[in-house]
Amino acid sequence: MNGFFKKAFCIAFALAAALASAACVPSLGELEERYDDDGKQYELAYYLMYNDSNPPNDLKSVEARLNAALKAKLPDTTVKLTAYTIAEYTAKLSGAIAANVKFDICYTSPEVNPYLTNVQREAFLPLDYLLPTYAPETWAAIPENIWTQARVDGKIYASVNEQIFPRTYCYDARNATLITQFLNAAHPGTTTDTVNELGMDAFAFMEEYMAWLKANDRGAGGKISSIDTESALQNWFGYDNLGTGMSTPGVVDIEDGSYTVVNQYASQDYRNLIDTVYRWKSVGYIEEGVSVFDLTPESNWKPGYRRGNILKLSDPHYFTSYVIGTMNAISSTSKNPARAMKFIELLRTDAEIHNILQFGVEDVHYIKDPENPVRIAEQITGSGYNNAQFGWGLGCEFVSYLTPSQPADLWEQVKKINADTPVSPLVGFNFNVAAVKQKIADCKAVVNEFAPAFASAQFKNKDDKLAEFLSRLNAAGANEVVAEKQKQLDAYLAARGIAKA
Amino acid sequence: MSARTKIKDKSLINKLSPAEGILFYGLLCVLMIAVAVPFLTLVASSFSSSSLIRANGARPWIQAFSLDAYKIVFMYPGDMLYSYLVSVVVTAAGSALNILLCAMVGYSTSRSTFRGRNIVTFFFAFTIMFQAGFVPQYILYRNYLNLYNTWAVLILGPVVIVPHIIILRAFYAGVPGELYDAAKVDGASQYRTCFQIATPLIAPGIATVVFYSVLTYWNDPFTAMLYTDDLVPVALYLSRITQYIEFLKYAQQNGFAGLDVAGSEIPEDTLLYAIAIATTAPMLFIFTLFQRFFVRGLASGAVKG
Repeated sequence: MNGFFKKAFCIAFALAAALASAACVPSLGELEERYDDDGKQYELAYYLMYNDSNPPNDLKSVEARLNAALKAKLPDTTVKLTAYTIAEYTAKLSGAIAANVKFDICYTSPEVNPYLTNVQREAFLPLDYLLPTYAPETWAAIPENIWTQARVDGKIYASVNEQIFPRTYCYDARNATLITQFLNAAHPGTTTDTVNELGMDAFAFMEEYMAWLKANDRGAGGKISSIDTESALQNWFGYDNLGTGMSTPGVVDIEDGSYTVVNQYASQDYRNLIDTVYRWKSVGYIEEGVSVFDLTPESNWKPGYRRGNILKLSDPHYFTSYVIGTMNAISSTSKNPARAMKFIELLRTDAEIHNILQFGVEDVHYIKDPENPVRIAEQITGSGYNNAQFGWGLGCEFVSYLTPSQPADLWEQVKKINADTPVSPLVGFNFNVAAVKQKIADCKAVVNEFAPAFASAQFKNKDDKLAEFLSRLNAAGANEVVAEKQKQLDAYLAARGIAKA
Repeated sequence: MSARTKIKDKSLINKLSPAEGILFYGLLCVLMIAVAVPFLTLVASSFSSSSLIRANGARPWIQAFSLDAYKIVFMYPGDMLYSYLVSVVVTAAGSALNILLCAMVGYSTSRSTFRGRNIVTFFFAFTIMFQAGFVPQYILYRNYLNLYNTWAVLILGPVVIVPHIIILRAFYAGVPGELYDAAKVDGASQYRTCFQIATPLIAPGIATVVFYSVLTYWNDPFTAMLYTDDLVPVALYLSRITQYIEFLKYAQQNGFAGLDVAGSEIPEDTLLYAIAIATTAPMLFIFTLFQRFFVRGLASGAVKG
């Protein structure tokens, strides 16, 4: 087919599809009726996310095992699994959604298979009726303000997965032996999981470790690649970006009760961060052209997570972006949304179903610990299925079997962190980007141009460059974005009756 | 490139004085080293120990011979071989079809006797500047042509490449009009004139397009990533392995998925080199093997055209 006609057809079809979908959006009342389960035999199409580089070789036996288990638990239902890797999930789903492919359940989050974009495309069904009706346990388990965070124009379009909600600043020390030696020498009694209790500045601690490595000549040690700006601004300095991502100006300090929106790149904290990076570079803690370092940025500390390597540097905090970090949505092409909702509820309530999708079939893909029914002893290499690292995306992480290295009370620890961390009053605030959409895109472009270079001390003259960065940001509309965020936040605080300090 | 220069300049070289000869060959040697050293570095590093590469940087010689990187690339030899098979079939069929279609369009739009040639050329050229984007293309392929997850989508996806048409059109335009008249007098059909009279004369043009077209098909992970679930060409397979590095590090530190990698280190530095070799080696082999044909085509074309 020749190129021009190919494209002409494309445009025509796209227009036709857009018109067709605009013409048949039913009202909420109609939708709710259509949502009810007709009780007939139904095959659910589930786009499963697979946390590995290649799709699984043995999805068939997992699907067979899942359907066998479903016979008793969800009668007249079979599941057709399609597994896409994390790296490809967004592209695959964006195609399938554009082409109106019939499916029932998919994963969504602010970044992967982006939630807001898909809601705007009307790809997902509103779940306000389905959740309490067909997934009562899920509905009850997730706190009200987190459901509010998932609302778009008042409606919930995805079921929030229960996992670790707060974020904790951390760095990966990569070498458990060295970091343990350092802690024993410099801070006896402290472990990688309790560094935050020292009350030290995170960067001062990292610097002390790097100096120790250098002084004691441990390997090639004592270097870092760059500081993860986003993670530092959020998890260390405690700036909530109000759902637009850290590369958009406009953040609120969660520990400051004045709820003032500021441009984080113009803050003293950011200036200090850059100064730290440049100081480290001048003493040789940051080195160019080397790809592996003794300290690597890690987005989030979790209990039982790479035990021995991860330095927990801060206390946990709730941030608006991350409470809805992983969700399951029901496609607007679903022919039986109620059944899909029942399946999502099963992922939470039924450990067997959940763990089939996570670890595969017992004795085929993994071997269970004979002494502990909720721990696996070994995952069989090359068996063709291993989705162990996707527990956080399957409804509720707390029913996952434990891997050999995880502590027995792992889920109790996570639940405790979720419960004990004070929830920021900002959780529940949805920023509507409509008024400043273009300005946000312009600001992001400027931030992406400058911030990575600052994070690894690439610019020769940092002061001039920082001034240029800020003036370019202002030209791109940073102040307008900040003002718009402040305006909407003030309205939210007033409606909630939250007083400013 | 160097081979071509050599043939063209053969007569010239014979006339050079010894001093000029030394200068000339010296220059060629410098060029050759400039090309060879990075490539040798790539090959040598892929066979080196990852920790030494990290400590000393990449060097054009092997540092502590190690196959760790290749062990990961060929961790599932069956999958890898199947990927090569997919790539070979798609590249062979796709390039052949690509040349055939581009040559036919190039030939017809080059003929001044074809009245609609400007309009047809415009239709093609238009698509270089204005593209509908991914979504309409996806809808067309998946919903209307039912190409999803088929071999056909891998072959037909990049089948018409407008720059190839433009290159061939320029070559066909250089064929003397008298030849076409003679062919017409002898009663040759348009197909025969195209394939038996004009095309052999533009062998260098065809060779160039074959070269680009084979590279386009071989190095295209996106068509397969978007439009297939089960067919994985080498380009996609290896791009997935690079994503796998992160996962491997994670897996190892968590002590699961007992990976059969010698030592405790994941060769993440050398792995990238090994992947580059695994992708380019077959192409390198093919082009070395066929290089003399390209050179001959280019040279003969230069004389006749």
